[in-house]
Amino acid sequence: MALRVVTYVLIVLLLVPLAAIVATSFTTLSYVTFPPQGFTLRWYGEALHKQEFLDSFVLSLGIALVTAVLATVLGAPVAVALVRYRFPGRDLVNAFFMSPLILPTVVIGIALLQFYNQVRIGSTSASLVLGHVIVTTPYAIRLIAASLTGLDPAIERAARNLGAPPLRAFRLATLPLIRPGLMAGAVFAFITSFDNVTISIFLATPRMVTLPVRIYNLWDQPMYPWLIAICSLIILWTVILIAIVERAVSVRGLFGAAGAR
Amino acid sequence: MRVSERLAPWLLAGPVVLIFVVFFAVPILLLFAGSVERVDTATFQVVERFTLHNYRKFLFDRFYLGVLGTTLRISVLVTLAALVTGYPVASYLRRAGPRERAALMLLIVSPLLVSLVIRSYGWVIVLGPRGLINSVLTGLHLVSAPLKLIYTETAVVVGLTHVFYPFMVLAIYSSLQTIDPAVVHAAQNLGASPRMAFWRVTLPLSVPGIVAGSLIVFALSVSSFVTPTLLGGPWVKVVAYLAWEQNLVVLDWPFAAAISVILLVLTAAVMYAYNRLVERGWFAGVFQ
Repeated sequence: MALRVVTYVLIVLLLVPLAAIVATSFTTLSYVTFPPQGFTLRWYGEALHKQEFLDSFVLSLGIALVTAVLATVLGAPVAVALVRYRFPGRDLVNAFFMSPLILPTVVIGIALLQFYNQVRIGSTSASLVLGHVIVTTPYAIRLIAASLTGLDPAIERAARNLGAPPLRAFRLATLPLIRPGLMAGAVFAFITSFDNVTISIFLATPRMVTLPVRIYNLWDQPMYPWLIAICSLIILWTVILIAIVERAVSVRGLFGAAGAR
Repeated sequence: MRVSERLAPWLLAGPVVLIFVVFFAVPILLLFAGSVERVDTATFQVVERFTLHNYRKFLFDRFYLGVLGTTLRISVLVTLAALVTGYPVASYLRRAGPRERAALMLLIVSPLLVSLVIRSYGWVIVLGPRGLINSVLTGLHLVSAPLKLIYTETAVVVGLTHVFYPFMVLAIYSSLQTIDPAVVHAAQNLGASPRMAFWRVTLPLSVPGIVAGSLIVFALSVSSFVTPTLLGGPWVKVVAYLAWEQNLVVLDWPFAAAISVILLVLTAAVMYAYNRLVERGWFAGVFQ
């Protein structure tokens, strides 16, 4: 019983900072204070007129979508190779693909920035996407591999025996069954990319700032209520995403991958 | 086995391996190579190709060592805080029914889906001079003036514990899950009190989860810099912040590379040492 109380108190504490943002975003005062005074939607109106934040949102959305597609497309064949085949160097390949999760993200960010400058690619939206793909593909591989592991390879073999060529057999027999894994991989890559600050901080340019970096860059400014309203909108959007995802794939399933980080 | 069967995994994984080699492995290796160069920070010309100058600069300097000390202290505190608060929640999850467990899990992991930056701003509101905690304390007349909570090491520890908490809970929970309840029942049948059964049976058996969780949380804390900057302000500097500053403000890239390598080695060393201790059964004696 005591354990139950402790657990619920701690879980409420976990949600306090996010609840504080949502509560404060309705304040009628022009500075951030707690408890918030009154109720107004004024700051939301103001937030939606911050053109640079809207631009950043569109940029983050685009990068996250492309990252999600690439991470899934690159992750799927690797997952198939790792789960379906025993080959020399398999453990090494597995460790190699998991290493972006083990290396400090800030180190990856610095390494990529220095590399892009050395090879004169510089920071473009492509280099930003590539950076995000490096840190999200491992999750996609893991989630897709998890959905493949439970599958009987005999299903695909049966399709082959019935005369289907390998790719067709895979597409018709295996692909529909691992769709939840592919979905989970794509969604997780999307969210991880959309939230990413540590890689983006290094690869962003003055003309190309993702949403979390745009918010981060105001760290030495006073907390404006419209900024809190923007944070609140992002929380709302995350809640909606979770609700959609929870229907399609289990969020707990996603964290089999995240927890192993 | 036919040749095509042996080639298949490489046809599948090969192109992706290549992409990761070029855009991940090579940049990391170049970072090592760059860390032994030396540039003149006024002209940005490389003045030495191979030197340990950058490493000496970091390791023989009071200021940089102080930052390293702060980083390690913060990381240890975050690990302990996450462990102490994570263990009871993980134990409760183990006992809860499937529906309750699912709901609680969702609440525990969902903050992970909100960007670090936003979670840190939430703590600024909670810990600020006119924030939640201070208004409660002054409202109850427990303190006469608001406490300085934000922009302190404590704020950084609180913020990081919050960020990495789910990893600790999940790690401990998954090790608790592997314990056969019959073992605990057996201990109690043999006369152990529930408390004794916990200290002598459950806790030692969950050490792998404790180790795994602590390892992840410590490694993530050592290299974090977004939360420390937002909650520590200019007063709490961590190693990752130095690397960022040298790279993007001072533009001394070789020094930034050297700090990154130090961070990398630090993370690797902690993981290795921890693993070795577990392999040697060092932890088995702790709870006797």
